[in-house]
Amino acid sequence: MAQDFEQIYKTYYMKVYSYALRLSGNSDLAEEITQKTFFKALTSESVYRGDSSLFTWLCAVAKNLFYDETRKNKKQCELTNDAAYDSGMEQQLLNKDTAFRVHQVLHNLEEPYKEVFQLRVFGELPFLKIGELFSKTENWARVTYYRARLKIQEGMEDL
Amino acid sequence: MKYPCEVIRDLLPAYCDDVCSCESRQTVEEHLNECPACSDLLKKMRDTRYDDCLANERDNVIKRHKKSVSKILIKAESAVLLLTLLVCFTVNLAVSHTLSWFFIVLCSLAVFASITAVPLLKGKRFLNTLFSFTVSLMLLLLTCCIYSGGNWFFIAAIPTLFGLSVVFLPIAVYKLPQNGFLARNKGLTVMAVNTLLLYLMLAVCIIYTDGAGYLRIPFLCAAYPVAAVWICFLIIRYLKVNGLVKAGLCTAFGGAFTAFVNDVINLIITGEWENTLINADFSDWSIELINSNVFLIVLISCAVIGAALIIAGIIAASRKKKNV
Repeated sequence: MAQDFEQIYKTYYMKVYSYALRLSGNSDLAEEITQKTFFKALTSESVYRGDSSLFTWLCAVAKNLFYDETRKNKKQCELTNDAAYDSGMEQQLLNKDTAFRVHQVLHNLEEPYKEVFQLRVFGELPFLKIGELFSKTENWARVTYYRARLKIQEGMEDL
Repeated sequence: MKYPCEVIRDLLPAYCDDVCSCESRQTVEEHLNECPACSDLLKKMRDTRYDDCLANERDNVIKRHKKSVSKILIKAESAVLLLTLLVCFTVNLAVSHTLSWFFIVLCSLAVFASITAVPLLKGKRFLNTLFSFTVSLMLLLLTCCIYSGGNWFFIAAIPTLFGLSVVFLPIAVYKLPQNGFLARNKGLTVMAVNTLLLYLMLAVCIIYTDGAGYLRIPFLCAAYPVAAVWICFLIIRYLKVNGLVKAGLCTAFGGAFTAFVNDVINLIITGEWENTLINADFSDWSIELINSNVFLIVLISCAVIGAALIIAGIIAASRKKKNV
């Protein structure tokens, strides 16, 4: 049960992060927004009322936080950071860039591929469980996941 | 080709994960040998580059998230603790014009922090938590003892230490970085410390109840079971024979230990050797003889089981030698 919760939490967390990343285009900012979103979700007065899906609500919170952040940044004169980076940092930036593009491709993926892929990669859910969530079989989930992987590869080549 | 590509492609995911039946596996492999397009597809299916990229990112993001959560928790807890301390500090000063029970509050909050905040901090969480918990608990006992004017600190502290050490010392010793003699003899360290604490506890209890003159009897009574544990430990840890022989030795020894426990304790207390076993009579199970009968049964059955285990162990060892 605790493990189930952790998996679902991870999936939601990364889905919101993915959303924030596409919104801001900056992984550090996206992480900050996601952290704040989840704190807000746990503590805020604007309690989740259940009139939309939980994910939609979390995204709305993240969006508001992002707008707050951009407004703040406009006031400050933004300092561009041209710190010299070594090869290790270059590799890191390359990875970040790849991840950003994968998130974009993933976003444009149609359902159920997108959801199955996210549950598998973000939540590390077993195929049996993913199948159950869609009222389908374990094999259906496996086939869908592999198709999603192929689709993402195609998408990455087209970018 | 026996099957169309479409059929094979539906089987490929299961083939990739190694969960398809032996027959489908053969079918797929036969097809792959003949069909370059499907082999190509399999290669693509096995390319986890982007999955790994996202999984890697997920691990980093989640790790940083957890870190930030524990940072906030620690901050919140520190704020609460500091506020409490400040209030107690002021009230204590204002009311009694000196600091007295403030120290008790300080120490109890330290105990609280040691089990709530310390586990969240970086580093060796288990060792840090255990160490700070033990120290703060001892301090709490000491301050309580001082401010209540008692003399019971040692009688409270030593048994507490003994209890903590019995449960947690093995784990702590296992996790502690060490080298040389101690690293090779972790069990010995734990046994030695626990034995020492047990005797300290006995001594403190006896002294506290003004029984210093009677140290001999409790010490000897405790020595009998302690020696039994030590002997079993030494057999298991240091004797270079196989597991069955060790089990046999411990069983036989345990039987003998149990059978003579009444006699030995009697000898220590009264100075007379009773020899319970000699009275055993299996036709008479009255209250006077039941002990003798039961002990004799224990002695004999443990000896038989022990002997059987030792023989089995010797046979197993000689067989192994032959095979080598």
